[in-house]
Amino acid sequence: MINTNRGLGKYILFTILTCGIYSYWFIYKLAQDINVLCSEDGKNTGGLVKFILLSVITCGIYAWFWYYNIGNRLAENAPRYNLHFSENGTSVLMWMIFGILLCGIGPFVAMHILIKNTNALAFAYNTQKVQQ
Amino acid sequence: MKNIMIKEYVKFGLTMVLLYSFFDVIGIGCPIKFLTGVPCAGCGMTRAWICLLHLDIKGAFYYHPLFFLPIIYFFIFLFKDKVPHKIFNCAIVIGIVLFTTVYIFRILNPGAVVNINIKSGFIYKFYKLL
Repeated sequence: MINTNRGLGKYILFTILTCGIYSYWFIYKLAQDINVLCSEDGKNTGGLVKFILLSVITCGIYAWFWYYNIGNRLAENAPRYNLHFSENGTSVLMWMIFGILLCGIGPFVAMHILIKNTNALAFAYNTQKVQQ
Repeated sequence: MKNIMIKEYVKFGLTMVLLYSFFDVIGIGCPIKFLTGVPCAGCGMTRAWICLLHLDIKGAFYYHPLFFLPIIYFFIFLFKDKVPHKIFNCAIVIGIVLFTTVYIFRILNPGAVVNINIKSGFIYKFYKLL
């Protein structure tokens, strides 16, 4: 069973309480779950080590690329579960880049999109597994 | 499905209200200004809406010339499924261009509403501390 109870509030709260460490745990689990949910597309989402190393080397640009890819991957795989997401990687990236200029709210919106879409896919995946 | 979507929006809205209230209480306010000392593209928006609530439209324009846009975009996002895809994308691009243009103009012409003070930013203070 894949976690369907991810939430933005929990993510923010635990990230503040753990001085940012929880956000890395979150990314680790998110990458892992997305690789299971979208395994049929033959692609692979980079894990935490790759995320941290390449983000440091590229001054954070790889993190944007990672989020963009995840947004796209979720949108591309939604039809497999009879779902449709209106947001894709571009929406996530736009919120990350331009949304940050609006009192820093953009990255939260982007994370909300990713969490919402991952939860929806996970719910559909779990339902399929139970029916099988 | 629509109900789930509205529930998600409400949850997100409440989370943001709580988070930014928390920022306000602990003295951070706008996280971008707090970190960098440079105001963000949304700075002045709250004061503009307070002016609007007092029916002072001139004051609202003074604090943020695009004060009316968030409400328009709120409805665009709420009825996203009913808005044609091309029009939705155009609206997003127009919003980004308008906010960026106004932001650059205000940064280049600092005044009482928007003033740059990098030395008051957390990053600068932290750097000096090191």
